[in-house]
Amino acid sequence: MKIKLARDILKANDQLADGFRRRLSELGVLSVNLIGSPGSGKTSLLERTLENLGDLRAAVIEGDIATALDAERIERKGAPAVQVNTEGACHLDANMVIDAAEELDLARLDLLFVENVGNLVCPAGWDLGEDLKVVVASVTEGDEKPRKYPAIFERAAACVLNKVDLLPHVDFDLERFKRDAGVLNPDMTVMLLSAKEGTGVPEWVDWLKTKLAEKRSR
Amino acid sequence: MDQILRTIRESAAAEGVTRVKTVALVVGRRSGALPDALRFAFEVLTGARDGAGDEAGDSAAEDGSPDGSAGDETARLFRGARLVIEEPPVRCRCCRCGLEYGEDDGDAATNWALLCPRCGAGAPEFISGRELRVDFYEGE
Repeated sequence: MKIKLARDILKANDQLADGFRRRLSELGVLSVNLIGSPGSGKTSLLERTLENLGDLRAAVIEGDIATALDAERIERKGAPAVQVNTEGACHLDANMVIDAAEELDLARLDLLFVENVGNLVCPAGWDLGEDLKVVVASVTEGDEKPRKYPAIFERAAACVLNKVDLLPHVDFDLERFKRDAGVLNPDMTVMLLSAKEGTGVPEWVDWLKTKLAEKRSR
Repeated sequence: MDQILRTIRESAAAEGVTRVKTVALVVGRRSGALPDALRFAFEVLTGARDGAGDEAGDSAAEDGSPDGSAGDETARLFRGARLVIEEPPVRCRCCRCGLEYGEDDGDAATNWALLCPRCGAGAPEFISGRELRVDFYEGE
């Protein structure tokens, strides 16, 4: 007996993610999935972001294989944080995020950040119910990231290029990076930023505010 | 792969299938999944590697999987099953000039980003190559 299923393997995840996205939309919460290599500065970017959000209320779901170090850093900035430990898994899935969100009062939020496990590969394929994927790269990683990891750049709404304060000290061809990123995804906004020195942070926060306003006006 | 086998297990229970003989997947060449990794996971989860004298496999067969009865049930249902993977090639349609092309149709300067070999535009529409699905299974 032959039984035709024709079923997408990630469908169970995608259905959960869609349900979560609808719930967040009803509450007017903008959700952002941050994806980047280990050490690209995802948590540092979030710390800077939280310092500059003004009246906006944000929470963070932190994904790591082990430890609660990142959630502790976020809480020190006064924002609610939930740590998810994937115990070996290289990405978050929708189920993990929905479980973690149980710990948060979503109705009181404007922004929900999800910091994915440090990895440029696997997280690209997993929908977490976010409105926007943002890829966080840094100049110390090299300028060939779009070429080597096209999948995440193809799917991201924005790319934050972090650690630009180090540009004079590293061999990073900024024009090449921007050109390659633009070829892969002409609609992606590329923002140059230094989480350490704060340059580019106002533009990034403005971009988030614009996206939140766009979402709420829909 | 765990998700795939669970999907089939649910369907098999509904259809009254007690023994699965073939599992057929469609895994596009730009799906992000690796057919070899899927084959390995299939062998481990269905117990096909237990007979190869692998020590961990033998003890798992005796003691039951760490998941308990679900693992045993999976191994019983899929014992000896064959995995068939179809790998559709990448086919794109240029968003600017409409040309249909594959991943080898350009040269090194354009292929990395699947740029259109005729007009150079990027971000094409995918016709095939991103599939990741269970096509069908056969059993009795």
